[in-house]
Amino acid sequence: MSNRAELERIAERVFDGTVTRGERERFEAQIATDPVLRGIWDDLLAARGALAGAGLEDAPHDLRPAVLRAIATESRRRNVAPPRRNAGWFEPIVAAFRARPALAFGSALAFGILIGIFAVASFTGGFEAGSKLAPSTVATMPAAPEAAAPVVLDLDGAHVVARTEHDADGQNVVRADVIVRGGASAPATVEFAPGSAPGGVRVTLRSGAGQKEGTLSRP
Amino acid sequence: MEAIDENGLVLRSQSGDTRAFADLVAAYERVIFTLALRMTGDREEARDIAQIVFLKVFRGLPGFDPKRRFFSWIYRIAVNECIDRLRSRRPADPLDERMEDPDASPEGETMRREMAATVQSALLDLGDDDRQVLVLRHWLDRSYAEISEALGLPESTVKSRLFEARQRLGRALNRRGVNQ
Repeated sequence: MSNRAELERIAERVFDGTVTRGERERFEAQIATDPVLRGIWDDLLAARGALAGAGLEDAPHDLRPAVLRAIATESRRRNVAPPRRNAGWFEPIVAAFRARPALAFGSALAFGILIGIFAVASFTGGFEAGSKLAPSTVATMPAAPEAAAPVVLDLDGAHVVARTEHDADGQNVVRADVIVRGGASAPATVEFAPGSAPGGVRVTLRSGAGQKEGTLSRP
Repeated sequence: MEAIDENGLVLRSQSGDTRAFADLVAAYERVIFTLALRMTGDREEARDIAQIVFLKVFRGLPGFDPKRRFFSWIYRIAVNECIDRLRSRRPADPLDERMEDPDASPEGETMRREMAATVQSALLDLGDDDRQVLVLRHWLDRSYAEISEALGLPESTVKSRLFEARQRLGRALNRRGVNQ
C-alpha cells in the first residue's frame, strides 16, 4: 500500500477515534522523511484538534414556537381557498369569510364537502381488457389558477390528464380527463384540492393500489 | 437526539396531526439550526433558514414517501435553502464570522468560544461541498452511510471528500495560527 493510501486510512481512523497509539506512531515514523505527506498529516491533525469540540448547537428558544405558529396559520389558510386571478364570483365569498370567522368555519366545512361531491369523479374498472378503452369522463372545478403544464397521473389502469383551460365565459377551470382502462382492480377517484399546494391546485388520483399526486402550478 | 419513532411521527404528520409534526420539529430543530449556522455562519440567517425549512417540510409532507429516510429529505431541503441564501449574498457581502452570540458574556468560556469562532471562520473559507460533508460528519454526527444517502454519493467518495475537506480545513486553521 502506498504511503498516501495509508495516510487516508490512518487519518480516517484518527478522526473516528479508532486508531491505536502504536499504529499512529508507526505511521508517523514512516512519513517522517516525506515533507509532503508530513504537511498533509499536520493539516489533518490541526483539523482534528479543532473539530474535537464540534457538536449540535442549541436552537434559538423562539424557533419552535415560530414554526408552529406559521404552520397553524398555513393550516387555517388551507381550509379556505384564497382568491385567485380570474376568481370572479369567488372573491366576495372569501371576503365574507374574512369578515365573519364563524361563518368561515362552518362554510369551509360545507364548501369542502360540496367541492368533494362536485369535483370527485368515481369510476369502476372491470371493462374488457385489451386495447379498448373504458369510458372516460371529465371533472371540472371553476375559479382555478392558470397552470403552466398539465398534470398526468397513471395508477392501476386509471389515466388522468388535468389541465386548466378557459370555459365559455372566459374563466379558468381545472379540467380532468379520466380514462379507466380494462383491468383496473378498484374504483378510481380524482380530487382537486384548491389551496393545498402553494400557488396551485393539487390533483390526487386514488385507487386500490394507492394514490398519486401532482400539482397544477402557475406559470 | 433521543430515540423517537420517526417513521410514526412522519406518518401521523402526513395525516394532518400537527402535534406529531411539532415532535418532528423538536427532534430536528438543533440539527437543522446547526447545519444552517455552520453553512452560513450567521445565527439570524440560520434561524430564518430553519423556520423556512420546517415550513417547506410541512408543505411537502403529503408527497413524501415514508419509505425514504426522513433525514435525507429534510437535509436536502435545508442544504438547498442554505445554498440559495449563500448565492443570493452580494459579492460585497462575503461570508464572515457573524456567528457570535450577541447575548453571550465575553467573560465566559473564552477559550472555547474563540476556538469555535476560529473554526467557523476557517469553515467559511471552504467550498459548499467541503462544508457540507464536514458538518454532516462532525457536527451532525452522521454515519458514512447516512452522508452517502443524503448527498447521493458512494461511501468511498464521501470518505475521500472528507479527507480532502479535513485537509483544507486544517490549512485554513494553520493560516489562522491554529496548529495541532
